[in-house]
Amino acid sequence: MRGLWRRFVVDGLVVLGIAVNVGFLLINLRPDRPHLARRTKARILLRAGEPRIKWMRDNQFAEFAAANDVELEFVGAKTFEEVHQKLLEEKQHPTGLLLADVDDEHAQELKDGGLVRPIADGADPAELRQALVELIPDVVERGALDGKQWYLPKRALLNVAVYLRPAVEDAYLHWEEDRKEIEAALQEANGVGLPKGFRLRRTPDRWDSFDLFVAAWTWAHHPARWAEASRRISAENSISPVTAPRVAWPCGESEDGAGELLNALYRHGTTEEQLGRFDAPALLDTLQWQALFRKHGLLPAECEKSGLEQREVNGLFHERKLAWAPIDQADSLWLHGGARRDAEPGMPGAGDLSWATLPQGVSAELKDGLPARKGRSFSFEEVHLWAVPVRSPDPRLAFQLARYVGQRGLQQRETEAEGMLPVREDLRQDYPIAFRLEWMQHMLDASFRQLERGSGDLPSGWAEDDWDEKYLELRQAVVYGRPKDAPVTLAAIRQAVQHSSPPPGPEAKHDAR
Amino acid sequence: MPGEKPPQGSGEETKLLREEVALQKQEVALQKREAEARQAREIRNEQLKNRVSVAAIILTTALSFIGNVRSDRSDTAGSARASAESARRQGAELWAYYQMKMGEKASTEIARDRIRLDLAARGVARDDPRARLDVVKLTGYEERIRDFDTEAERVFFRVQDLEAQEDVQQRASVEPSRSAFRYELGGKLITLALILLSVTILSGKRYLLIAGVALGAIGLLVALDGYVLFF
Repeated sequence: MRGLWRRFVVDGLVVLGIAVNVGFLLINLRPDRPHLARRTKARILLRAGEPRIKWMRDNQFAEFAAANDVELEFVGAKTFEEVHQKLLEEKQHPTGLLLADVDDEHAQELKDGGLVRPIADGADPAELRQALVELIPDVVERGALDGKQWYLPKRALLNVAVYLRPAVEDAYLHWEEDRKEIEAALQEANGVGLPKGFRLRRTPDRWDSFDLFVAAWTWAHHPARWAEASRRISAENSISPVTAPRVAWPCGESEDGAGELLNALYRHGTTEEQLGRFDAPALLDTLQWQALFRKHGLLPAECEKSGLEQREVNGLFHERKLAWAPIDQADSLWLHGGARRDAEPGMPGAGDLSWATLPQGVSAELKDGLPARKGRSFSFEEVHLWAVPVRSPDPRLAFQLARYVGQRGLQQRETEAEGMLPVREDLRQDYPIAFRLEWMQHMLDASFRQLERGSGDLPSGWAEDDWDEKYLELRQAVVYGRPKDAPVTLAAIRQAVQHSSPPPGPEAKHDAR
Repeated sequence: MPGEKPPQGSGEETKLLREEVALQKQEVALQKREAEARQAREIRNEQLKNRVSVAAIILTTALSFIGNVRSDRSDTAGSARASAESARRQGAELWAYYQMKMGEKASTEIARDRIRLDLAARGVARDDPRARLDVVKLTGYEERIRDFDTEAERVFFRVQDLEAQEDVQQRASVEPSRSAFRYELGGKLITLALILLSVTILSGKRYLLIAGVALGAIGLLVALDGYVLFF
C-alpha cells in the first residue's frame, strides 16, 4: 500500500514537472504578463467638464487602467456642491465609486458626514509616507484631519491678475493725460485726490488700489488699439478701436461674485475675526472703491444688471475686451491656450498676456497725503484633494490610482495642458526648468509670488454662517442700490452700510479691531 | 563396517562435524542475507538514480525555457530603457534648437523695439511717408517674430512629445524588469537544485534528492511568478 502511494506521488511529480515545462514552453511563445485577474469596473468622480475628463482619461488614467486590469468610468460634476451630493447618494446607494475629486473647503464636512474614509486606510504606512514626502507640506496639511491623512492632494489653484501687456504700456504712457479728471474723481471721494507723488507703476505686480483705479480710468476713457481691434501684424487695422471699461471681476450675487468680494475684503485687511462686523474699516474701504469704479463706469455694464461670473469675465478677456482681471491657473490656460499640442487654442494674440500678483488693497482715504490704511496683496488658495468614498469598493486601488496620477511626469503634463498649481515639491522647486514656455513661467512666477505675498484658506464661517449672502446683499445695497451719482465719500458709504447692514446675529461674535 | 562398533572418539567428531555444518549453514544464510541486502541497496540506488535523472531532466528543460524567457524580458526592458534614453537625447537636442530660436527671436524683438523707439523719438507716426522704410522693416520684424512663435511652438510640442515618450517608456520598462529578475532568481534556484541532485548521485543520500526537488520546485514557482507577477 505504501509502495503504491509512493509510486503515485513520484508519477504525479513527474507529470507535474512535464506540465510545468509545457507551461514554460507556452510562456516562451508569449512572454508578456497575462491578465489573469478578473477585469473590474470602477468609477471616478471628477469635478470637471467633458473636455477635461477626456484629457485625463486619455493622458492619465488609460495607462493605469490597462496595467491594473481595471475599467474606469468617469462621472463629472460641475461644482463641488454637486460632488458632495453625489457622495451622499453613493453612501446610500453604492455604485462602485472608487475615488472622488473634492476641495479642501468641503473636506471637514465630508468627513463629519461620514461620506468619505481616510485615504490612509488603503495605503501601506511606508508607501503613504513616501507619497506625502513628495508633496508640499502645507498642501498635505489640508488633507489631514485630526492627525490622520484623510485625503491626498491633487492640485491647487489661486487667483492672480491677468493683463494685456500693451494695455498696461498704454496706461503707463498716457495716464497723465487724464490726471485732472482722475484727481477730481478721487477728490470727491477722499477730499484730496491722488496720493502725494503718485506715479502709475509700470508693473501691475506693484500696483495698489490707486494704480488699478488710474489704469482702469485711462483704459475706460480712450479707444483701445490693443483691445478687440488689434491684430498681431501692425499693418492690419480693419476694426476701429472703441472705448469701453477694460477692468472686470466677478460681480453680482453669484458664488464667484461672493468669492471675489471676500478676496477684496481680505486685500483691504479683513481678517476672519472681523467677519460680521459691518463697521470694519476694511469693509468700508472695499465698498468705497467698488462704488468709485461703478460711479465712473470703469466696470462692465453687466455688473449693474445680473452680474458677471468668472467664466463670463474670462469670456470677455478671450475676446480681448478686457485689459485686467483676476484669474486662476486653469482659466489662464483656457484663456491663453494650453501649453500642449492637444490643448484647446486660446484667445487671439495670446502672446500679449502676462500675469501679476493681485493689487495691494489700500484705503481711498488719505492721511498726510498717503493712504490712511494699507492692506496687502491676497488670494485664497484652493486645494483639490483625492477622497475615498466611504463605500469605495477597493481603497487600496483608490490610493494607488491617486498616487499614480500624482507622479511627476503626469502632474507636469496636466499643469501644461489644463492649468493648475502643482502640488509636488519637486515641481514647485524646479518649475522654471520644468515649465519652459515663457508665458507659462510668467503665470507660475506670479502664482508663487502671490503665495508668498499673501494667500490663505477660506474662512470656515464664510459659507457656513451665510456671511457670503449677507455681504453680497450689503454690497448690492451700498454699491449698486444707490443712484449712480450718489456720494462716494467714506462717510456716505458708512451711512449706507449702517442703513443696509443686517442686525448682528448670534454668529457675529467676532471683535473688530 | 556394518555391525562394527564405532570407536569411542567418533561421537565427538560427529558433533564437531555437525557444528561445523551448522556454522557453514549460518554463514551461507548470512551471505545470502548480505547478497539480498546488496541487491536491495542496488535496486534503491538504481531507483534513486532514476528519480534524480527524471528530476534533473525536468529541471534542466525548465531552466532552458526560463533562460529564454528571461532573455526576452531583459531585452524588452532594455529596449524600453533604450527608447526612453533615445527620446531624452532627441528632446535635449531639440530643446537646444528651441533655445537658439528663442535667442534669435529676442534679437529680432530688440530690433523691432529700436525702430519703434526711433519713430517715437522722431515724432513720426507709422503712416507718415517719412517712416515708410522703417515701417517696411518693422512689419518684416513683426512677421518674423510671429513666425518664430509658430515654429518654436512646433518644436516645443515635439520636445514635449519626446519627454512624454521618455516617461512612458521608463514606466514600460518596469514590468519586464520585474519579470526578468524573477526568472533570473528562479533560474539560480533551479541551478542550485541541479547541483544538489548531482551530489545525490555521488552520495546516494535520499534526503539530498528531496532537498533538490524541493529547491527546484521553489525555483519553478519563483520563475512562474515572473510571468504572472503576483508578488
